[in-house]
Amino acid sequence: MKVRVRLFAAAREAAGFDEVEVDLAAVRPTVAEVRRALAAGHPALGRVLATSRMAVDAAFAKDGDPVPQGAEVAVIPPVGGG
Amino acid sequence: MARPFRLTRDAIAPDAALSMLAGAEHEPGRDGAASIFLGTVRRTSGPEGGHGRVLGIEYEAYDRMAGAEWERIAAEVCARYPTVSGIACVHRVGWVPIGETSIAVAATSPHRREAQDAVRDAVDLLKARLPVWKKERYQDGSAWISEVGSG
Repeated sequence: MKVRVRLFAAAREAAGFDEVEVDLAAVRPTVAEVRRALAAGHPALGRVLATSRMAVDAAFAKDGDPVPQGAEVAVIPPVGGG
Repeated sequence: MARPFRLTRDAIAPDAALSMLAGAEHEPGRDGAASIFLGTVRRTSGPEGGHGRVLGIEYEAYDRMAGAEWERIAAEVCARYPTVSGIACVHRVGWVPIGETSIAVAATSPHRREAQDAVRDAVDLLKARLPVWKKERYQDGSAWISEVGSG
């Protein structure tokens, strides 16, 4: 399953793109598997990924959460709002 | 309970968030208190200004999720303080020079305690959760700044 991942802030700068695609073997991948695929496919993202949360369809997601087909996934580096 | 949210590239007036709550009261004259928080870009950053003089901040937001996460934060705060009529947030994105307002949060309630507490709690929660990032620019570089530890 192909998953589109949006990158923000430090993650975007590390990868050099604001969006990347990962191809996962699992039919029903988890957020953790998307993380691993990102780190493997884009080694420059490794450090930022380690301190980032993930979001699925505009809500924070835990590593064990499923990623539905067509969902918008995003890497959320440490935030600085307010 | 009203929970308006807005991202803007324009300067934020002191009553920007409060004016979004006009009409949020269940009946006119119900709320005796309005509380407003304004966040301003500071000249120095880091412990005792260790990062050096700040020229300004570039704010970035995940637009779609910022509104959704504010909804969740505001719902939690409103559940905690049920007499609050509404709570609003306006956050600036793009370049914000020092001395200018980056965020406004406002709430109204019949008596002052709840409005003040609601604004305080909302600011604490959004600083930890709102998908907005700040990049401080210095004379000789820039850095992404977060009060949050690892994700």
